[in-house]
Amino acid sequence: MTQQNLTYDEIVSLINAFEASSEFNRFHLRYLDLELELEKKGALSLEGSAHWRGVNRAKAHPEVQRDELEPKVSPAKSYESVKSPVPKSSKAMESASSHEAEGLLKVISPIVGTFYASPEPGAAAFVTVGQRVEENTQVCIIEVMKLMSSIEAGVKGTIREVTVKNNEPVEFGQVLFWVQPD
Amino acid sequence: MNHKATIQKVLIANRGEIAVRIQRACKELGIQTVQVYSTADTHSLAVQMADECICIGAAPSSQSYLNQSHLIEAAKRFKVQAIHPGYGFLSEKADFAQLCQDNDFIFIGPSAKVISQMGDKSSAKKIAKAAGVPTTPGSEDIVSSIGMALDVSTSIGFPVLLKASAGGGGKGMRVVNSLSELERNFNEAKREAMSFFGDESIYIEKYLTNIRHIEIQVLADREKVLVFSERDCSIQRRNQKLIEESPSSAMDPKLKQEIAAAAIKLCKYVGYQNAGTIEFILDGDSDQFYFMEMNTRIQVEHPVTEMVSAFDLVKAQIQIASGQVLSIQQEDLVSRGHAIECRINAEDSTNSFMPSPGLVSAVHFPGGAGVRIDSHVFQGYLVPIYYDSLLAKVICWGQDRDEAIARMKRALSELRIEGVFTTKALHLEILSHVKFIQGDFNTQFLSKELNLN
Repeated sequence: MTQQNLTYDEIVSLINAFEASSEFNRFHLRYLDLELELEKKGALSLEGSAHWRGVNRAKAHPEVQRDELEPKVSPAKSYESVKSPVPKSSKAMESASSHEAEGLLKVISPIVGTFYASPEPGAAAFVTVGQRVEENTQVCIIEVMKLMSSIEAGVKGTIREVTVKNNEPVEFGQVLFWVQPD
Repeated sequence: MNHKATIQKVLIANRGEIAVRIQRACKELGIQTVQVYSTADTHSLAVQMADECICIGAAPSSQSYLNQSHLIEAAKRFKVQAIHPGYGFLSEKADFAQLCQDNDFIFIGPSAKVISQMGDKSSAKKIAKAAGVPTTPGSEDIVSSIGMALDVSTSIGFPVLLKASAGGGGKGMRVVNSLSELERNFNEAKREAMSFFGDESIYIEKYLTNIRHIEIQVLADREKVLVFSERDCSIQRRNQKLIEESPSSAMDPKLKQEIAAAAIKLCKYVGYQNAGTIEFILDGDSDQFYFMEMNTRIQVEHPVTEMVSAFDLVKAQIQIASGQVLSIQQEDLVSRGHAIECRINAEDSTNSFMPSPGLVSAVHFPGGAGVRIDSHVFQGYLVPIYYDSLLAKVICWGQDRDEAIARMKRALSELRIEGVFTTKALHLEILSHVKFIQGDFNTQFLSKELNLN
């Protein structure tokens, strides 16, 4: 019998089942070369401390308060980290593979952090679609833990797509720009 | 604040280890705690320890820990009497202190007026001078002509530093070593200042290279100003302190007395209340000290002072804020032994100190006699990308400096934080360096001795 990896649909149904359950805050699966880790925000992460769990439950309706103050954020049921090979969104995956097939070059984030498209809030972006870049053209700033790193294109060509929005968190290795080579 | 108020509940407007530290003080005083948090800190230790907690916004601090109206709203909802700002974030924002007062909350710190006076560097320097506290020799005001530049430079002596008044953070500065270089540099510095900052104003200051960073912890209630023994924070990288100790190995008793007297004088002059720190530079060549700035808040390295004085500064902050007069007197404050603090940051010291956020997969903190750990880190903690890189402060006390160093090396060898890079190995390297052991160092130690920039 040959073992097969989970399909995309199977993984999605696992995530849905996890999200719907009130029993579990964390889910970790290792199967063949797949590793999946799900965690609900609001989950306690201090292992083995029944005391602190008790205290936390007794708190004065933190969920209600949170919603009133910050209506846009509803973190109670979102999963925090999904490790490869689970795709983040199938659309992003499709466009990535078609860009690669087209021979576009990618500019990736060398660090985890927050993406800034311009030198300061309100200022014009370092680069925009259609602009030519040299290897040493600054394309963005990534801030991690108060340290601002300026990121250079590293490739030569014309910007075809900016895949991240200003102020968005980015991961190590994430594609920031697609560049049409000369 | 001239009346006594009872503080039963405190809102902690901060995160990380200092939030945990403040909660510990509150618990010991029988005060309830309300912990605010951003969505990135949902699982934080401070949230888990607090009596009550409330999410005040999204992860970027501008949307949470710096959002004054959300903080005030949270304080109202939980009916706290006081707000502790910790360090960083809003701790030195005069308008936040004022906003607290306007909403009938006690701001645990000095008054908004004092914060605004001492918060601005040039205004603080003028006040220090007026109070009779020595400031770095140099021009009082803008030096507009080469004639003035010559007069000032020859009176303070070379080398001098030409500083663009609009500059900062090391930018817009030029060192001039001799009279013959002055005119050319002065003209260039003015042009440079104009093109960089749109303002050609230049100041001239004495350029000091062999300096120690010495600071004095003060604690003032409405009747008296207490001073603690000095902290030496000369081990720094790019103005970020890495190791702090008390007492300093660079000062004799007479100098200590003079610097403490200067600190008291300044506090009395501005009517300071609550905890604060006055930072001085000590010129190793002349043994002269000069006022640098005042921090109107509790500082990261306050445990160093707590270890040698056996006194809880954060509890005292809360007591002073509630209008109490401290029962302790200056003569009761005796500095015993030696304390050192190492800041363990989530940074890769072998790769230009690149921050290293991520999941902390394993933690073991050292223990034993004379060891204190202030930290918010636990196994499974996710170091967020949004805030500073401090993971833990390891503070060791010894009968003398040698014992404190040996104990720190022992403690760090027990310390384990896995999953992220930390500065632990760098600390062990510094602690083993012969010049550090001999107390023979200045603020350029890391760049000169260890080639770290």
